Amino acid sequence: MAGDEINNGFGECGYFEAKKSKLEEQFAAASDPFRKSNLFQGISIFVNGLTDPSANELKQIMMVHGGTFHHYERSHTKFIIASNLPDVKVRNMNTSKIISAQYIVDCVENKRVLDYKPYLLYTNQKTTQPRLVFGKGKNTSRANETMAVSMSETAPEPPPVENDLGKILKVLQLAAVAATSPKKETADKTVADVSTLSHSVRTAVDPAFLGEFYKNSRLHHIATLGAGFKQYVCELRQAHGNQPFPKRNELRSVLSGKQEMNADSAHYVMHIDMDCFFVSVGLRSHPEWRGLPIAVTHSKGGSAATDVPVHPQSDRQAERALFADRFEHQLHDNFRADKVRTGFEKKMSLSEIASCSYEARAKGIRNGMFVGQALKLCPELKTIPYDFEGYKEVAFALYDTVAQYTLNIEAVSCDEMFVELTDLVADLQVDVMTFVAHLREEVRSKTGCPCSAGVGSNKLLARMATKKAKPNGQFLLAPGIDVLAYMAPTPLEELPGVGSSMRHKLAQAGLRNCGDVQGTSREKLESLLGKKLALTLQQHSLGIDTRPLVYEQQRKSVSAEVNYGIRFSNASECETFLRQLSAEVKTRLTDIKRKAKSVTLKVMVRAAEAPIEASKFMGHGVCDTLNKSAMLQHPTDDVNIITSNVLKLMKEFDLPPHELRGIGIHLSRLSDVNEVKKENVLLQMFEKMSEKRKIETTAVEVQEEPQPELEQAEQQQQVDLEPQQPLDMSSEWKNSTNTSIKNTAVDPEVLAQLPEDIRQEVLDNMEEHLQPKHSEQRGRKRRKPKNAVRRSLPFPSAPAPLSKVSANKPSNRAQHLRHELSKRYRGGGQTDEIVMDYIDKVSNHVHPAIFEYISRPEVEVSQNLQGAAAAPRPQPPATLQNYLLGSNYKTMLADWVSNQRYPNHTDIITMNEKLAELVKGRYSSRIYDIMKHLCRLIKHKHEDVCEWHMAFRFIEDTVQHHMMEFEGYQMMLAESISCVMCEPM
Amino acid sequence: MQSEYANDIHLEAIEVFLNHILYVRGIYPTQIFKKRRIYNTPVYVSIYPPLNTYLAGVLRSARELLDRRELKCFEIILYHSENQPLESYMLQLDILESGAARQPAEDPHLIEYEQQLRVALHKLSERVKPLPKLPGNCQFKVHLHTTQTAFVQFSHEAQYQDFPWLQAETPQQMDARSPKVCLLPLATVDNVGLKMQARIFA
Repeated sequence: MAGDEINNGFGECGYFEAKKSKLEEQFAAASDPFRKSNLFQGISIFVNGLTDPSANELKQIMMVHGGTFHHYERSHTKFIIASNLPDVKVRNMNTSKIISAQYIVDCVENKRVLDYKPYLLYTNQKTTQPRLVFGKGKNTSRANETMAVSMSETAPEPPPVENDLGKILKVLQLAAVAATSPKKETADKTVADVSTLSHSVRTAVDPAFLGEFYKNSRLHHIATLGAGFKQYVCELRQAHGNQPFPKRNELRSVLSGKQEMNADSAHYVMHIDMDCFFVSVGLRSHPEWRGLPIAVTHSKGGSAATDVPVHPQSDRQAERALFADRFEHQLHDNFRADKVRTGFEKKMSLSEIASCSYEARAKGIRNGMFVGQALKLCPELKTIPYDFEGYKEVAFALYDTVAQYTLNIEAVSCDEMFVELTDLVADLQVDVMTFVAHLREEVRSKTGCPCSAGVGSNKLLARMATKKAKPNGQFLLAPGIDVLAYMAPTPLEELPGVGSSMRHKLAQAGLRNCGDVQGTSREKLESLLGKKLALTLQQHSLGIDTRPLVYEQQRKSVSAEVNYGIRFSNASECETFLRQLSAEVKTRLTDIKRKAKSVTLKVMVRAAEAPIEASKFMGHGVCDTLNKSAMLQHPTDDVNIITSNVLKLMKEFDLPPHELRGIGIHLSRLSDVNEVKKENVLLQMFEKMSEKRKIETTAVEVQEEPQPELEQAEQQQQVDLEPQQPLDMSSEWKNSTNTSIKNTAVDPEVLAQLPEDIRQEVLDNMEEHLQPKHSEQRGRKRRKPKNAVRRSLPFPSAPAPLSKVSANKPSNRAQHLRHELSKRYRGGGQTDEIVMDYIDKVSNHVHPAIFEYISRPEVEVSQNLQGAAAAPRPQPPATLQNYLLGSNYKTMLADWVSNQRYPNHTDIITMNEKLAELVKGRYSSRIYDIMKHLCRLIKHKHEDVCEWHMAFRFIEDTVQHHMMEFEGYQMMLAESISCVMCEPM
Repeated sequence: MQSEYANDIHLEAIEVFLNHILYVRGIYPTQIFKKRRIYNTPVYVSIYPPLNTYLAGVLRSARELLDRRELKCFEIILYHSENQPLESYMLQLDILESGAARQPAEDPHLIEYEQQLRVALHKLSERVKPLPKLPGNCQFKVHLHTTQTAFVQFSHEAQYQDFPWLQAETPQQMDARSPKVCLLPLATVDNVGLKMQARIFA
């Protein structure tokens, strides 16, 4: 009966299969008369759902062009045509063959089979992988999607697309240029080229955005100039050495006789500052505008500034209220709150004024004011654009002039510095103000810009004096003057370190100027500000400033931040931008030849209550600022490490990309590139080990997979049994990977499930491939210097996943381990025998992963030690974070010994590590105590547990090894374990 | 703590340890030692005049070297026959390595210092106790580890001529790393930078 049912005319597969085959045959038969070409030879499709062209039309196309049309999806269906699929289906299916119907149409149109990849409906491409974003190409939506594919795949496309391709290539190359070196001249070209592609205003999505942003950013220029001069002063000082200053002699002859020196040995610090730097530099080319109210700004000024295009989605009123609210309540900055209140009038320019002339200041215009608002106050205000080249030129002239006389300069910014004049005045024997006048005149003649200088006995007083000296003057806060009286009327916010919120706090306590603070008790201040701030504030208000001048300033951090034009539509755009920004910040890092240890990502997110579009064109509007940082294990200047950390941090934020308004990357904890690492070498070894473990375990996982692969291969053709190695694995790892193959490839469970012939092949191949490598390892081992291996065993800091194989055959491995160890400790005396015995038993008590680790082949160890040897020799670490040094080591030992029936191997190894550190730190007295205590504990608690006895001897042996190595003597230990059961004799 | 006071204090510590070791190891009959209270703890000090004179000579020279900051190590060697030392106690003076005086300013009355010395004395007796007993008729000698220049200068000083020093065998010979020698850590006095350990010649 059963046999009859099977042989019911449908073959072995049952009705449904028979139907599918029959339909296929019918299709083949029916299509014969219509066939025009064999374009789709070998291609079979299955249409899922509604498509354009429809399923019927596609069927006809396939008929005509020699393809196959499946009515049901079959295993050998080549493509599934669909226009969209629900999520559930996508997850269940192999999406690599689902393409859009457009593919068929295009193939017919081009009369050849095209690459299907651009038509994939669902790519396996991760969203994190960079997508090419390019300007408004002509080729509509399809083009935009297709370009996600890599260049090699699009390369064989027909001519019409090639045009696009060329452009893309060009953009790509140029983008690369822009990303790596935004300051090169080529960046200009990029901008020109790219702008032909995208006519709209650039947002951060554009690859050339970053370059242009930094070309125009005012803050960027001012900041880099300032930082640059700090560096410049350092360089000048280094280059100058101890040579005399020739200009001093010249000056001496000019000024001699004019002045007799009053021989006071006062301390002189000069603060020199250009007057309205940006304006006066700008006016060099327009001398006719001197005396007029001038402002430097991006805005064009005139009518344009009072009638700017406003983004339809922005809501100025709402934003104004928000800004004002924030400034007032969070920052207590009434000035800015007012500025926002009055500045956000309709259609007025929101460009800020960078600098304005004294004439403009007289009209009530201030630096930082919005142009629109300023124009309301003073309609005849003239605005001039930035002239970055000019700033640079003048600033260098200023620094060079001062550097002729002395190099005791502390650079503050591009137009401002502190200069120590004490020794100069003593050397020249002139009155200090005579010199200052001479210097100012020289600066003026060289740069054509006025400057002011103040002299005082410290930095604070010098700065205060400059305030009095401005504009275009000089002032000496002479030692004789009553400093208290001079300082008294100074508002507190003029003191360094007092910001808007501190001012607010002080104002609430009734303190507004230095006089108020002078009359306040320290206790009251301390209750307001805390001890340290109170002290500084009080000293400052008394005109005392203990800060010394810092001549050679080291950069403490490097950062790049963009908060203009950040409008992403999806995550990949954001990612591309982050990559560029990382590259930019890396360039800055390498420029100053440092390495960073900490990466901070700062993002500005549109505040929930803020309007979608900011009032300022492409500005950031009202934002919440979030920060996240990551510590790196080693200082780095590798762009890949920085980028990956940045991307990880971004992922941790988990923010919708379209809400981002500003992004900044900040590198801190800088160290010198050449600086020798003084870190604990052991620690580095640990890190390396844990990394290695990770890679090894992934390798193991790969190796346990071949089963499904083989099954597939069975259906197809010959099997390539060459073990697959992860591609990114460097050759360095190969040895360790191979050994893990050796250990895992023979998993009997996997083998058992393989078909007979393949199993045979696996076995044969394994012998072939692995045997020679094994012997090669042996050879290596022999060559290894013995003392290098004698070091303590690092143990896996992260417990590795349990490998089936190693658990299967502990006895084999124990044998192996024994063998290894006997090599390592050859000549170490009879105690090694105990270790050997011990290790034989170890496998019964130890976690298999640890066991696998300690019995790993020696090659791994040698790699490890080579890595460590590349680093400088371990010095006794100054501060040992070793708990054995703590006062409660006895409790710790007692806990360890009494809580466990049998010693855990990890603990023993840890113990050895720690003791080795103690030996290196020469804490021999402590070691003596520890060993004695441990010995007594074991004797007391585990009189009959030989595992503990052997553990102790093992530890003791290691300690003696280390003592021999570091001190040249073994240590005299007071106690030892004598047990009849495990006596080594 | 001023430097000369510091040296006095160091010298006193050395003297106490020297006496103590001689007593503990039984180089001289116990009758010649008398119990004294030093560092607020009982210490046995020699009252045997010839020995005292000898010790005074040794310490005077040590003092001179200390003043010049040339004394690296004060070594007391116990031996039975010449060139076959049994034990050697080394008082290493770290002050020279670390340069600056390590005495913390917050210990002006030396309470902490005294405490540590007391601990060191007790530790010394405790750790020396399990050592095998020395054979009778043992003798002791003192080595001062210093520099060549210091030694030459020192031997030309007229006032030390009556207590002459000889140059011992080269340090290499002494330091020959032999597995027979064991190191017994004795005590460290962090406040003064004094470290004491004994080499036991098996």
